[in-house]
Amino acid sequence: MKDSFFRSMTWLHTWVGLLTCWVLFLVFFAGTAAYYRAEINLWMQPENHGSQYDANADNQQLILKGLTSLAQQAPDAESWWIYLPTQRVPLLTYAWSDPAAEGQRFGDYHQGFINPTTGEALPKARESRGGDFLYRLHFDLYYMSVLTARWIVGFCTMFMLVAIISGIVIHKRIFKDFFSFRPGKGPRSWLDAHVASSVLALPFHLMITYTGLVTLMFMYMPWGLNTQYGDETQAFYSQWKPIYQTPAATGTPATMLDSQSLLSAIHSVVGESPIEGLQFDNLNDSNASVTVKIAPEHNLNQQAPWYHLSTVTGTVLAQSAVTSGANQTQSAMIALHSGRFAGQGLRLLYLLAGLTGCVMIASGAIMWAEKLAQKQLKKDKNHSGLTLVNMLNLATFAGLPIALACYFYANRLLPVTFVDRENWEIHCFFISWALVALLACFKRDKQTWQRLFLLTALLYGLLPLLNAMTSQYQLINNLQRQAYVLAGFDLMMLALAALFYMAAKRLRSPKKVLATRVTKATTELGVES
Amino acid sequence: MTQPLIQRLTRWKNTTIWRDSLHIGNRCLAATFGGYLLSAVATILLAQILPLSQVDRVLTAMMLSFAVYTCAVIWVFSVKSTWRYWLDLFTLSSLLYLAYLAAKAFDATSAQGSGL
Repeated sequence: MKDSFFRSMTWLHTWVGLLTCWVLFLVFFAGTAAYYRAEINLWMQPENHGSQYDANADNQQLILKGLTSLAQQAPDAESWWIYLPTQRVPLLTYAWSDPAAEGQRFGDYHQGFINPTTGEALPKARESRGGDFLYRLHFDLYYMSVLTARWIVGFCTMFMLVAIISGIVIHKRIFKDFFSFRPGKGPRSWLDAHVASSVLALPFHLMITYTGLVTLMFMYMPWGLNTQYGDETQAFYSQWKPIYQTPAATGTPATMLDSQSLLSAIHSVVGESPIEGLQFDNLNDSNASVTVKIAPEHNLNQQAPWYHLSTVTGTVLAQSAVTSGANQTQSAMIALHSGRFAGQGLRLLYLLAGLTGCVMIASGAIMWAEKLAQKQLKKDKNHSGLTLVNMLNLATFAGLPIALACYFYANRLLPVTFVDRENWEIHCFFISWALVALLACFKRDKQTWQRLFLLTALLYGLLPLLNAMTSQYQLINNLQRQAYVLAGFDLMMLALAALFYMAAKRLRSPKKVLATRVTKATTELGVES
Repeated sequence: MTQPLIQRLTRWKNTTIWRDSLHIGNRCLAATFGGYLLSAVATILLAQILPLSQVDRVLTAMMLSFAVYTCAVIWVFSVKSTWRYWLDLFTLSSLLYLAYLAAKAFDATSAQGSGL
């Protein structure tokens, strides 16, 4: 009985893993990149590169600047937002949304930036979705309805959880195997790589999968909510997240307090707590209000304090209170998943763990293919399933890094006035991916992998150069003026280039080693070549 | 070649590959949909009976549902007999739902009692 349980779990792990691995790789890859969403956003708008964070800046003055710009540019907007500069986003951001048109839920969203050190408005930056595209790709995919995409991603995530649990079950010698790596031995090496990458970051993999499901649980598992609240789900949301419950517009016009008195009203409530951002709702209405969000500290409980103030009278309408245990657990899970609380050191660990996840998925799929290839050599029979898996492996694991690099290149090489520019950047991502996939239909041997990895290394390696040519600030310059977000981006690209170069070199070397060694291991080499 | 046509056309039914994929497909269906059914009913029950406020009950039950789902899938794939897991999944789901109905009725009457 015990033996058959292990066998069925092995079977489950293999097949669940194989069927979902390509979607999961995309999700992991885009999600890992999205940990640097703000940094990528900044890099992809070189017009804003001159802006720098100043810890001693006067926030009151910055808010005033934002309010003045908004009053000039969008007096009739529905809502206003002001976000103060941070280490990661060294820009004063102001944004507004137009009143929703007929049949729309939300009006159009616009934003502008101010250089916090000089106080000057920055020129309109090029249109680019930046890191936000990668963030959305991570759970909304692309070229399809958001709902369908989220169900697909949810399904794959659920089975990733099953694959992880069954993987732990079948792994009898989890500790011993962790310390063994047998390179140059075909499927055995891939197994070792798979085990090492899985076990090394196992807590992360478990956490990220489970909390990923929790982020979208209202879509996946609404049944408890439906039976408890029926048609009155609004009552649930207002208790769960009171911050979003701003008073409804009355329709009676009213004028807002002047900026100075509004600021002193806010100051008298907030005191010296650092403000993260302000949101103004129901502008020009007697129920106009502002939500003041205090910057969250670097801890898991992201529920930073907030206040609702009337912008007509300046009185406090509502404010945050200590929330319940379940509420805090849920928000801590979201915080763990999104890593928004993480400082730069922890963020780097998130990146490494995410990359380990990518390696885990890729090595698992490649191992499956290598094992089957080995069996086939013995039987001398070709298997169409193997061809398909090899094709998808090459297209996904080698194609996605190239697609991301091409996305960055498109950002700088597409003319600024290009029509529908921000969407064409994304089309470039998918076009280059499709080209690799097309190549994978014809060539899948080791040499192709190696050449694609070399190409990837070249593409990433040249990105700092491209930046130097298309932005006013280059790597050395950025290091000198301590613009670490931009310098960090370039250094990260160089690190990725080195990583892919090493991978390409590794792919070449086993052939030499094995050629001199007359063993039956030579059979393990031929995947399809 | 002398076999009757019907027999020749239905020969695939006796192959092991067909029987295997039937079992595997069956298990996958049970794991996916049966597992979802069970975790959905478990969420409904927990959202009713956990000793917390209503908002917390709903949140906690939702967060736990994916653990129930995982256990259900693992369990479906570890049971030997073929149709047993369908029967068990449905029985367990029905029992949980009955428990939910009972708890709801009980809560309604006790709320009425305290109101009087």
